[in-house]
Amino acid sequence: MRLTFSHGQERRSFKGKRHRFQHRYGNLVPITELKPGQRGLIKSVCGNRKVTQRLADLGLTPETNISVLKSAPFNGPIEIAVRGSRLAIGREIAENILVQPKGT
Amino acid sequence: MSSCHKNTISNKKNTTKKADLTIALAGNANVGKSAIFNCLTGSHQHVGNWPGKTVERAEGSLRFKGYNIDVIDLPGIYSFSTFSLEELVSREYIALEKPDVVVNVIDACVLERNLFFTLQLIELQVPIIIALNQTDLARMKGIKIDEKRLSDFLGVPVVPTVAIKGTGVYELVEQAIKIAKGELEVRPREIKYGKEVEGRVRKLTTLLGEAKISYSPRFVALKLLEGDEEIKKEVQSVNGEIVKTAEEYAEEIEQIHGESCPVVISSERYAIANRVTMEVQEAAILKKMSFVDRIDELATHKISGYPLMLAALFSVFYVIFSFGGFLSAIISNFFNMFQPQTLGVAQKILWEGVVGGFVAAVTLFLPYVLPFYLLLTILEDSGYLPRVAFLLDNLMHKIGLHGKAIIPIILGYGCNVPACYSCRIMETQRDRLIAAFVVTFVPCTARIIVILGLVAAFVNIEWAFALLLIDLIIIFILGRIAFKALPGESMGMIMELPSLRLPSRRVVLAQTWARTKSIVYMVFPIYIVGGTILAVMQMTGFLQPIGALLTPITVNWLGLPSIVGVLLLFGAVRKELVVVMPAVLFGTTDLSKIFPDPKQMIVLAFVTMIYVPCVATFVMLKREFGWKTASYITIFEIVFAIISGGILYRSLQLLW
Repeated sequence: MRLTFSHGQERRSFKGKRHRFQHRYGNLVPITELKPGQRGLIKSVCGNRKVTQRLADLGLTPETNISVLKSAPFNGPIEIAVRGSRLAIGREIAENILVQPKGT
Repeated sequence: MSSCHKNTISNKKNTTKKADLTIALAGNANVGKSAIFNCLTGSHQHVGNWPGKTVERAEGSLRFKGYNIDVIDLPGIYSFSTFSLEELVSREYIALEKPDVVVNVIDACVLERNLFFTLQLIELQVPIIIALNQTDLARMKGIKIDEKRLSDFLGVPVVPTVAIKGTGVYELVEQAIKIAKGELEVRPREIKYGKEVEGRVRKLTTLLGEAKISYSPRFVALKLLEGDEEIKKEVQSVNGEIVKTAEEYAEEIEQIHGESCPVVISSERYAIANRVTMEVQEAAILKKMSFVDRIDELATHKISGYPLMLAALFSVFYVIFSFGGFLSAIISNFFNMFQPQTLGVAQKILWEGVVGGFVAAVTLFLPYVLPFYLLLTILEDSGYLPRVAFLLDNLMHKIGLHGKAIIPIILGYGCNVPACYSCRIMETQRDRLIAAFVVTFVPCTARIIVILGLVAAFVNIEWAFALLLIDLIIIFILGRIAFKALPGESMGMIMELPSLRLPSRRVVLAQTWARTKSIVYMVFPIYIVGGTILAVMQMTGFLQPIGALLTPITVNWLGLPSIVGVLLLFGAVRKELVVVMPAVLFGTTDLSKIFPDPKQMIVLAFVTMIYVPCVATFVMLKREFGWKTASYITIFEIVFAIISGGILYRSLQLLW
């Protein structure tokens, strides 16, 4: 079964599939686990199609470098830099963006 | 007035003659399309520093070198998919209405992402010209773009501009006209995708060859592969086979790349945008943080962000409550000096209706509305609102919305009408409805005038703030109930954070003036007409029966004088009439003579704040959500206001 970009209407989330992802890609984490200032290479984006399409339109496509700038407290959104722009992404969406972390 | 209007550009408000040319402005959100639009047409389309302000297209006109030109400002979009209404609207406009030239406004600070959209415009095969905007800001950020090279790479003319100052706009129009007239031929370079995609696009294009479809064959081929529902439907009606073939192709591409087809296409398009960017852009890495960056850092910081936000929002209200009250008192005293002593019936109507209405408007409206809009516009233009959305995302989740919803709510403190309209920045219909429902409870300037005129002036400022706080709690509770009760899907937040900037004096002043003016034009006549009607009704003895009819509610349940029934009826038109009309009825702006008990002031202000969205807001709700929803909201609010107003009255009696 293909586990990368889902293209159905249903929500597929990363939660619970982590194990299998790690098996396939090695050390993948959602961007919520990166520290502020840390960079990562996008490997996969899960979630419903509307969300993944919007993210792709904004430049969050596989093999793109992103860096986490800030994370709002109380489980708030994550601010990232991607392709020269800054985006605020809600935590529930950010949890489905999987990256290969790089050093700070 | 501004530098954009020098030379031969002159503005025309009404085009009776058919336009010679049509120019459409298209591009990402928050790149300055509306700024260019205003510069060209001299109108005051809403400009602000947050993505998603223009939700519907705006039209204006311009005379330039003897041409009558129609200018269309399209909403900002990142792509031409059909997931959002704005994207569909823009796409259909460009493809079906066929403007003579499309000005693609791009933000020089975020070239790569903007080019992603430019590439799609090129695929639509329409005549385009690029306005490379915000070049000044880019330079400050250490970004240098070789516009000549960019133009060569894309095969599209590029004009650098700084729209808010008007720089380059003249040349832009000149070039655009040349393109529209066919004097300057634009031959965009064809964008080639990877061979798996490109081969299939070509095959589909050949298949489509003869078919009559509103879009260019190449664009349709790509959209078919991306699984675009609208395009599929259109092609289906012409040739169902092609749709099936496209679906097979898309499946094959997915097999090869291991990603869904739309993502593969987006990735490849971005790869091209990236390559072009690398070729034309030099970005120096700035080590030093600028002053504005430092403020930004503090404003979104997890500890300092919240107190700063509270301080910013609180000080806006504080300044207006104290300054507005002070100024209003001066104006009111000034007018009272002229109050004539003895009058005939006709003069009395004239004086109390027309002059009374006018005086009340000036004393209550201008000292408050003008400074409020000034501060609101400064907040908007600085780009601070998206930061508030970032900080409050989690809080908004409690009422089933995400952070962006805070923007309509804050705008609602200005006027509910544009605030309901701006709920379109929410992605799903359900989120829009919840946001609009919540917005109708936000006390707009009109309602704050009531609170100010009744409570802050005659009780104390603490009670005025307390009412605002009670309102916030009500908003929160009702929002949460609506969220639990309404079915439908919701989407998380994905929001661009525009650069924070020092607000431009020119934009802020023009915007404040435009907003104040539009309200003043609407409101002054209503005050004066309302005042006259009320004065006539008083003379002819119509007021008592109406007041008496509502006595069970006003007197028995809410503990207010029976005249309040009439005031509340007028208040449904414009909420301030509740405090403006007593001036007409009793010839005094000293409301404590009518409401001797401060508790009555508080209850009346509270009921006025909640009881019904004003007529203009109702019309906007009807437009956005239909008669039924608008009526439900209105009925709910009336019932809710009466019940909770009575409860408040009784609680106050216990406390006082």
